[in-house]
Amino acid sequence: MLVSLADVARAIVSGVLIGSVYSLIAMGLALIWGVMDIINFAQGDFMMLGAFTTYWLLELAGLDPLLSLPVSFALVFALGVLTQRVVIERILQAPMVSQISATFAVLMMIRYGAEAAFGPFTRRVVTSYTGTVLRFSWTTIPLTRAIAFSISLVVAALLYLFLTRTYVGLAIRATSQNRMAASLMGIDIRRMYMLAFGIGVGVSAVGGTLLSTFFPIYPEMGGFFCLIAFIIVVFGGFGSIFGAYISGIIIGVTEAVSALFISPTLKDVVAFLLFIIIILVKPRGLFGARM
Amino acid sequence: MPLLEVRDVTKRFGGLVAVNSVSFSIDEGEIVGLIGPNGAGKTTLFNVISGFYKPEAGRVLFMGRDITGKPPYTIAKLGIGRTFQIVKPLLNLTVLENVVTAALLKSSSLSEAKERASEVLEFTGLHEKRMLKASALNLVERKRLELSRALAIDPKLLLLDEVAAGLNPREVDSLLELLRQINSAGKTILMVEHVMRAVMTISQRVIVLHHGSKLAEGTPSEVASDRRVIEAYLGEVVF
Amino acid sequence: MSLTSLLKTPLGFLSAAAVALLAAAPAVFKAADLPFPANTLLLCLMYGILAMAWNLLSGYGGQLSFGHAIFFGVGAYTTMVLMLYYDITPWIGIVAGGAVAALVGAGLGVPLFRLRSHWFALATIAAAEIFRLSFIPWKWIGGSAGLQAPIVPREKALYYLQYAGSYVYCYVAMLFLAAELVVLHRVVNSRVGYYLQAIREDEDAAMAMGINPFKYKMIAMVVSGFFTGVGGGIYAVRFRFVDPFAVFDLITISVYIVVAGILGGMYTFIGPLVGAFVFMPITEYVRVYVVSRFPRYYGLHVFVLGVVLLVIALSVPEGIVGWLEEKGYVRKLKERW
Repeated sequence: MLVSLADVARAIVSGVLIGSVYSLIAMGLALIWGVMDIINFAQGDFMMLGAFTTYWLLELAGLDPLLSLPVSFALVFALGVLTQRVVIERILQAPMVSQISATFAVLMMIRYGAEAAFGPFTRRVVTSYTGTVLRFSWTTIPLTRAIAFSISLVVAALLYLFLTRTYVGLAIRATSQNRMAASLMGIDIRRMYMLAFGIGVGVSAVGGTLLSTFFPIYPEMGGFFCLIAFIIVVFGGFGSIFGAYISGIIIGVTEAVSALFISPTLKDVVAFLLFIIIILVKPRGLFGARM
Repeated sequence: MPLLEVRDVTKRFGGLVAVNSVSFSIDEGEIVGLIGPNGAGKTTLFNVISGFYKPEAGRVLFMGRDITGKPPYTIAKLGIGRTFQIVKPLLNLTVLENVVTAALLKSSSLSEAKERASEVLEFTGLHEKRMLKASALNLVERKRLELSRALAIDPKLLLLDEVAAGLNPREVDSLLELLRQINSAGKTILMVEHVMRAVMTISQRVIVLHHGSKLAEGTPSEVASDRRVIEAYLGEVVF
Repeated sequence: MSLTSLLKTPLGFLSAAAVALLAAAPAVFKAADLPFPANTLLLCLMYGILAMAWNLLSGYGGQLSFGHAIFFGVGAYTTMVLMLYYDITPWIGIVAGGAVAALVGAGLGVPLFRLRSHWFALATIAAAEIFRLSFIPWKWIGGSAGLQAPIVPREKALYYLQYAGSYVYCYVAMLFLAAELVVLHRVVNSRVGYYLQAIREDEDAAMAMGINPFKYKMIAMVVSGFFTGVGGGIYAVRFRFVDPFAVFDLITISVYIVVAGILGGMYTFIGPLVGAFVFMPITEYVRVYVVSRFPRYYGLHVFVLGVVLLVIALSVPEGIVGWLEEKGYVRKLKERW
């Protein structure tokens, strides 16, 4: 098969664009893991809820995805806080098996609750600018993807500013460094956990909203994206939130470029194989933080 | 040939030097105390010797054999048993099962391991609690369990990390008696200890670490009168 | 142990009664023409085999796998391919399926055991996804359409292990389950069983006792993979059909196994089997009678399953048998009448 340099360049651009959305989901996963040592197996399903919020707001109220974005963040944030209070809080000190089965149970409830409610159908979010493309001399970029990329950058920057410049953000980071010390310093650990979980799933929901503007949505979609997010977090070095952003883009590019060379059905396998190679070669991830 | 030889071992964590070019050796049959103020690098050194950390520089030789960077289970098989300062009982298993697991290392069958484990528990005084889950033990008993497990792998060298911490004076005495018996049964002991009375009465030799470096080495009385050692400990009291 | 001494304790009596009931059940179901209970019994036995196998790795070894569909699928495909392409009887094919699954387990263990706890669990899901995605385009074994075994003449039924209904397969499953129980009982009460539990409880403590965690996790993975593959082989001959979506399914294979194991009690020997016998009848009933009546709400049964899993995880993490042991009921049952 002949692949021209221009094809590769186009693939890189499209990989960066999709990767930036993967990154948002992965950052949420990394934030939750970093702060409370819990892997939220339902991360992809909170993302799916973000996508469906956008879909229904457009269908029922005619609300543009860009306007429904804060709504889907807020709704999923609230659901995250609720999940933290009802489920996660009880398992923080529990054996690993209980932790995993509990978040997995949340996954099943969200994913199949949505399937029962909305039906297993695939849907599309269609707006007036869905088909619009930005033309450059060497490539074209769908407008929706360009918007998604820009917003993803803004959200990542906001999260960075929040975690490094605000009191609450610093308190969350302090909690992730040392629970005991943070609590001695007068930080309300329980509140930090609720915030971290809420923000973690909320950021993923933003990813879901952005994704829905150019990607078909269905209740089980979270499964694939959760796995991709997981691979990204391993790649970026467990719990490193900004490592997750960069490696999300790397994974997106890898997928897009490899799709030039292999059958499209195997495209997704590449990310998984890459993941196996990473844990063999560099088990602590590219930006190796603590495990 | 010394039983254990530590040569210029250095262990860093990022910018922090936890152990700085420390050397010493231990002969067979000795009881040696390893002391030093908090954060002196004692436990880190134990972790290097027992294979849990890889040192950045230096060598560890056991019976003349280079064991630097070997995995912990290989080092355990070669004959170094250890306890953990923060005890690590197998909580969901019974006391007997805890020790049987360790005894299996040098036993050819399960029944032999059970016998061996029972003997060890008899010796360490946990025999009556053998059918309890380890989670039902108090801290003193958990420390005994650590010791029992370390003994059950039948090591030549025992690394004991603060086994006397939290014991009352009478319990310390009975522990020391136990350690003497272990020693006279042919096992060499290297112990990290904060309870000064314990380490000073039982050790034939004491090594003092301070800020990751070896500060002094000698008999307990030599070390106790060493001005640098006193200053190091005074520093700890003042701050 | 002789039968008379077995009957001297309530537990022995109950076990003997359960075995006798199980042995009689398929014949009774066939005579009375009750396909649904026979089918359900087969699923109980099959998931019993799977959950027992899973428990060696995840319960004893503490390496929580959400990817056992890999072994199940590989076992099912191996049995099917050997039968269809090489005319090899499933009696050999099922065991071969187990063997191939065990090999796959050994291969997967190398990368996966570099990860601990949560990350291992998540990685097993990813690994199962790799298998599903790679089998879909694999034309030689039928691609996404899967493989279907043709109906064979009656005189070849025994060779191709092909019978109407689930009745005969119940006995096949019992045979393999019995073999599995014997093997696992020996493994668990050996060095391997002790070492696996030590690794589960504290890997550092285990290493200080001279245990190489990787080696024993691998042993657990291989044995676990073998019997899970056997379960897949039984599935393949019973349903005469395999496709990548059914046999590598996250929910109906991997998660059902986990739920049966946790429900019955992971830290116990027999718990997962008990869990399968409690869990499968409920699921089957809901699937066949409730979901089919309300197809519009497809997915609701998995939602309910999620609620069940959450309740177990939060309130009885020790599972049914674990709970009975903790309350002392098991000890009482072991005393003489």
